[in-house]
Amino acid sequence: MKNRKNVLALLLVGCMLAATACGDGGNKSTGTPSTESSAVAENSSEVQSSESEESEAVVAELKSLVNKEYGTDYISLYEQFGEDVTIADVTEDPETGFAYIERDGVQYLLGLDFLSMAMVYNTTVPEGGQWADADAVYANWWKLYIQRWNYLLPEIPLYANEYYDMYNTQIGGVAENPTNPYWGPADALIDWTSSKADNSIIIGNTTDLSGKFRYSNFGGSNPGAADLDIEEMTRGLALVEKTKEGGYTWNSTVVKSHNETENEDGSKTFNIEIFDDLKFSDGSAVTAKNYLVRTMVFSTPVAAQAAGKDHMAGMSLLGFEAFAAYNGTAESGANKELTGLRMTDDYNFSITISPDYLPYFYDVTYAALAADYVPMWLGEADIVDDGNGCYLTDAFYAKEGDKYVMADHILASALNTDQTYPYSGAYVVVSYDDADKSAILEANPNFKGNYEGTVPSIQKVVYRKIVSNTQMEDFKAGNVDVIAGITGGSETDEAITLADGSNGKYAYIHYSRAGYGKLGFRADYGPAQFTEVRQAIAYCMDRAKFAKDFTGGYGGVTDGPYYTGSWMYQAAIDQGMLLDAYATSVDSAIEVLEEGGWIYDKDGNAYTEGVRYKKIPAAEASENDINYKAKDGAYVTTKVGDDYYMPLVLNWYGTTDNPFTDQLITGLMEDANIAAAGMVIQNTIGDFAPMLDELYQAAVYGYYSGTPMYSIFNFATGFTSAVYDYSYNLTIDPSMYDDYSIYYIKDQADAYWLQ
Amino acid sequence: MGKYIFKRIIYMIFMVLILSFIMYLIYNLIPNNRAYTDARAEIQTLKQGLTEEEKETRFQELYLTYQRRYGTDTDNMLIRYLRWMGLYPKYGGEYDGLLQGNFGYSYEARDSVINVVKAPMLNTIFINIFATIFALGIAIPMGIVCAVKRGSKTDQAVQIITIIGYSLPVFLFCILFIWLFCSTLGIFPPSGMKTPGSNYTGWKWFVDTMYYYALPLITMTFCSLGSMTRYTRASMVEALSMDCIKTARAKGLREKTVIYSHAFRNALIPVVTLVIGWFLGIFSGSVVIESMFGLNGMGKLMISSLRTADFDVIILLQLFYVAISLIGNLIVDIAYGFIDPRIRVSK
Repeated sequence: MKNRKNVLALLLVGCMLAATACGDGGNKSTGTPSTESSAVAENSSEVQSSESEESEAVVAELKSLVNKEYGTDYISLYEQFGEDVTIADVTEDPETGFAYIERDGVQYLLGLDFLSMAMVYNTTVPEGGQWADADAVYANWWKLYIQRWNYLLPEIPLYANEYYDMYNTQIGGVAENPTNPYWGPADALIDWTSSKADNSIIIGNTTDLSGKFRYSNFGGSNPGAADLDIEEMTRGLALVEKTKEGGYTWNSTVVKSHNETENEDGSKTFNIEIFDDLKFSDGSAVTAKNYLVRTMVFSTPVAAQAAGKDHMAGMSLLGFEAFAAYNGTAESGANKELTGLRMTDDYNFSITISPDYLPYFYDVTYAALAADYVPMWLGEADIVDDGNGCYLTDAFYAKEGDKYVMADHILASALNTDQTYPYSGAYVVVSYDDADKSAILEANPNFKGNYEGTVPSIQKVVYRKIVSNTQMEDFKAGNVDVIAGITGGSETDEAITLADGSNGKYAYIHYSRAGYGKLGFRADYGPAQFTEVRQAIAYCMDRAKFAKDFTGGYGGVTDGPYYTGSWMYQAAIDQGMLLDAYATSVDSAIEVLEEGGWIYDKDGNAYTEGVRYKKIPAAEASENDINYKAKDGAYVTTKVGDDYYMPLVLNWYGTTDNPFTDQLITGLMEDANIAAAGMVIQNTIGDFAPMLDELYQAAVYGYYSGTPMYSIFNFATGFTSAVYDYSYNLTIDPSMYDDYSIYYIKDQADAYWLQ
Repeated sequence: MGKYIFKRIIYMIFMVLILSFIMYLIYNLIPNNRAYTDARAEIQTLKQGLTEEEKETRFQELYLTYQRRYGTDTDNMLIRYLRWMGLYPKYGGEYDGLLQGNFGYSYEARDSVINVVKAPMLNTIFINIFATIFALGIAIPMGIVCAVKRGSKTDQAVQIITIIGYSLPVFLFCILFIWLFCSTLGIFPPSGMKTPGSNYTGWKWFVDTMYYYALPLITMTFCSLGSMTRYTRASMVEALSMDCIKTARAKGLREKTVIYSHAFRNALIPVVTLVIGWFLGIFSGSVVIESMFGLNGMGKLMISSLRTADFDVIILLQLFYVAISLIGNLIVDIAYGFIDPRIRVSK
């Protein structure tokens, strides 16, 4: 009996052990470390655990997009699945940091395009999940995007400067309300004080003022930095304002109440009530019309004629296209009324965003309207709402021949630099001297306050042009009170020495740059199209030393497109972001190159020394691959049998008169590790515009020859906007690729194969 | 004389036309397609909603619109030139060129070229007038003294200083003077054109402006002393060796009379060429001086326009300088006749 019991016990233990060994343990799959190969799903045997009854998903294979047609062979993964995906659907590989979703038993690796789109369009908070709000969801997507970016390295960050802002200590409050990449001196001075006799501050900019203070982007694609500063100081009372920390917030000084409604058609309405005590600088009242006027005017053909460019200011609004088509006469498809803007009374209005632009993480920016004086843009015309949407009265569209009468008025207003029309911001422009490009501003006595309710203490602001070479002398002479963005070893040393030895007369603050100098790639051309090549370059370079040498010790290196002071970076760190620092190692470079197939010589034999070659099967070789050659023609793609062999030679275009280029010659091109890895880099030094044409591979500035040549470029990038949105910038859709791509990279993971 | 001047003016008009055509051709050879750039910039505002075909169609429409706006919707360079001059209608039938007062549009400043050029031109003329007066006022007397005291220690010292000023690059003197007068002595401001925040008028404005222009003026004067001094000296030396000077001395005339009434007048002929050239040069700015001292002048405008391919500004300024040169040549030729009665235009 006793023996039978023992045998039964042993059998029971054996069964339990067998059940444990055969089951999946109830753990979710977190994906495979390999991204290049497909895996076959294993059917689970009958197991005790109910969770292990599911079979493992197939991992979708990554394939080359060369010689394949978008729409026929593949579409973007986001186009296929993006709309329905939430962050809760995503699993993350804890070792690689790659993100996956599973659909119909197939696991898809999420590429840069998917992640950049989801980051801003898929921020709905899943119920019952670990995400408290949309910010947490965004930060999660952001982390996954940065991790994928860090692996693919579409560009290599080389140095991120430490910026020093120096100021005259007669200006108080700077240490308590410091500047940062999102909050420059023109923004921060509202919190500062001045103990100078005339309660003034002199700030400068190396960019010229041009007098476009009312609308700094008028007629252009990008505003002048100096003009933008003046506009932001003089145009205020915005419904939504950017904050010191680089975010956006409803302005409780202006907005009495607001709510958002998600409409059935997918549009979203912001219902806003403003306070009735808001005033312009001349004491006149600010009402609802003042918030709508600029958006409406710059959505019309009248303003397009005035500016020589269609600003499409109301592009995201419901009914915009029909309104923008209206030219004063009733035509098919045109509508006099802009249905997305409604006015209930003088202090109540609504903004409805088109479903084409929703959902969007930064949708609050659609409501970031500031107050403009109505006659400044409309003259004698007015804004009316009869119940179907706001419209501009007929006088606005009056014509003389083909010319809109109001076009000249709009042009004159855009270039207005005096107090013909009142200002809504903290300051008003008292005078502008076009001769020496300087402006004098005075505090607006009727300004109610910014989003924190702060009104300026400094009464007078002098904004002038400064010369970077002599700005320190100007500072010492008292001709400027704040110098922002001092960078570089000797300049920073000089500034610190001056401040430290000034007995408290001068002081400084410092912060990391939101951006970096970089090696940019045309990551769809030549050897640079392969991830392992870009990684190998990163491994070959001593980036830390490069950064230290270039910045004179005042800077460092980053591993992705982020600013370490941004809120999402902090959140991603808390979530355990995984980034590869690509520590200098020629062995690591060789390893990734060998794994990537750079193991041949030009004849297709095993690589021994010199320049490496990679075999590209004919079916996967594009015309550019076949015709690829070094700048001097010494190395070309060879053909052996049916296969092509591409040389590991990269052509680099560096800009002239640039210390960054100079340092790259030794730090990159002549680096011993580059040759040791079997790589050659050849360079051309030239001007910036031709470099851009080579990067775009188009004659935007008229320099491109028509034959692609270069795949490495050195320039810089910045992330000083509070809106971190790169949607469409990583697209693999050929119809948008040339115009929107910022890295010219097509992540294979972003392809959903139709066949 | 009147007939001569009239004939010269006719020649000048033809020269301007020919040169303007050549310049227009040259600038159109430079790779730059404003219509393409503007159309591309506008198509990028359409972030979604269009297929590749629709985007291409829309881009071509925009491209054609901009080409018609700029008058570049033809490959015929002559027609494009005539449109630019205002002698041939644009696509819409309108004449809108130089002769109709359309001097072009600056894409960098988003304003008409005339408005863009106004302030820098006034600044350049202002500073150049004073620089020229100071330079001539110092260089000519110094040249005369050196010629008269040829071989003396004074002459040698001036020669050395002027050759240094002539040989070394301007930016070096800019840095040196900024270090000396701003950093070390703290006398003058390093950059700018007026006291920040000031709105002076009248005499106060003039004094304040001259205070800020002092350092650039010192630099410009110092750098330009070399050529004029040596030129004047050489002319005077040659004039002083002429027989008529020996005769004048032999007659017992005072040395001052010999130098200024006889020698200098003979030396003046080549000097006049230079002086008139200098005065015509008041319209052109110095890139280095303006960059170093933060002056808003023609040099800075020219270089920034070249860098940003703002060709309307460049071509108009080049035309202007061509016209100035032609006028200057005429003035020099007429001036010769007044200075030297032996030189007269034949009837």
